[in-house]
Amino acid sequence: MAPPTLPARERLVLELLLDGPDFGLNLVARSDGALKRGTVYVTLGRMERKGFITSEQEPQLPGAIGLPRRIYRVTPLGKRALRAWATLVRALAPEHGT
Amino acid sequence: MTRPPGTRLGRLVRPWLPATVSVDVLDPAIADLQYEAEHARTTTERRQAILRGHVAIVRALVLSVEPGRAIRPAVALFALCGMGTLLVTTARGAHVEGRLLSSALLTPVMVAPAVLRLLGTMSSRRLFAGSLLVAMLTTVLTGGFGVNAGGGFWTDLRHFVVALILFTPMAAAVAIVVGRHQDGLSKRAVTAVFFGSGVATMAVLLARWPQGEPLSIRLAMTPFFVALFAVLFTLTLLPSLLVARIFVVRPGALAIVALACSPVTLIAGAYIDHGTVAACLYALRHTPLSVAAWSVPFLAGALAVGWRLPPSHTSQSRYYRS
Repeated sequence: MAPPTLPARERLVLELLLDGPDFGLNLVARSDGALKRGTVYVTLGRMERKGFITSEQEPQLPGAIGLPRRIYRVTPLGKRALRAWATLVRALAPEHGT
Repeated sequence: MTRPPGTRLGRLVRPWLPATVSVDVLDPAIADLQYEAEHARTTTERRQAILRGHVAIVRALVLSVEPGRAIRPAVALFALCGMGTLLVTTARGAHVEGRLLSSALLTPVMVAPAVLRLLGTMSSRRLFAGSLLVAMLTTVLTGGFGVNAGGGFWTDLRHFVVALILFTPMAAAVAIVVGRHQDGLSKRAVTAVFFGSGVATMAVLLARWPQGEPLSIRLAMTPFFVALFAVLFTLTLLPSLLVARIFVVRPGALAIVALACSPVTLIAGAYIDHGTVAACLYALRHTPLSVAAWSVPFLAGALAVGWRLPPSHTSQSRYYRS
């Protein structure tokens, strides 16, 4: 099986989720324009299938109308992938003075 | 009670989406849209949130389409359109009779759901959409709607509406039979009608055997006869049988009821075949044997429809109680 890839957008989502579980719309707001509303749900869905994040429905208050929001949190695999990526970036970075 | 924003869009697109896209993309997007709209401070903000949310949902859904999965069905549908166009054009060029021409147009419509099903499409709605798309595209490509004929706008529109009215029930019926449709009354009724139409068509083709018509011509007319009998049985036989199944339990008895109702189908068929009531009566008076032979497919088909139509639960429970 091919190892899971970690594109820039997914890294950003993981970094944002390291601060704590959050909703898709809040991730867009916190990304300073790096994440778009039209793409964030597709990215989140893909990351969930990869096992980097997990999600659950927000508990709905009695009398609330509409669909419950989905809250996303990072999984241990997601954290490891982000750490591995950071290690890789450090390893490939040019050393000072060379 | 006010409907939360996005509900209608969700209801509209959800049946067409794979379950994963619905759960991973559509539902969270709608939920966030509703949250944002609910927490907007002003009406303008709320409107902007709803507009932004809808645009985002549409964009997310477009991005969710996996091209790899859509390519094979798309290629198959276009190939069927091409095949239909070729058949109809050849039939027109050869100046064949109307029944063969209709069969050329109906073949891709009837085959499309089966091909899509083989390629992994299970939803009846998608099979229906594919079949209807093939029908309308083939009509366009063969010069319908003035593409080659140069008719006016209103003529084209009229042709389009007529084609839509003709093809929609056919595409829906084939999609219900082929698709993984819920095994309810609609599926059973449509299946029964198609079974009866198949039996009647076989009887027609066999009846033409002694006339020395080539087998290939007879087989080529199959789609026309299946469609014709399906329409006749649906309009004349099915309503009475749907009422009868409430009281009749046994398939054999329901088949006899269908046989008793078949004169209505016969009269409708005779009217289509002869054009006027006077011509029907003339044929009945002067060539009774021929008319009797002609009516055999109708009777056989009616029997088959009645046999295949399941009795209602009410009549079954009443039967088992007694």
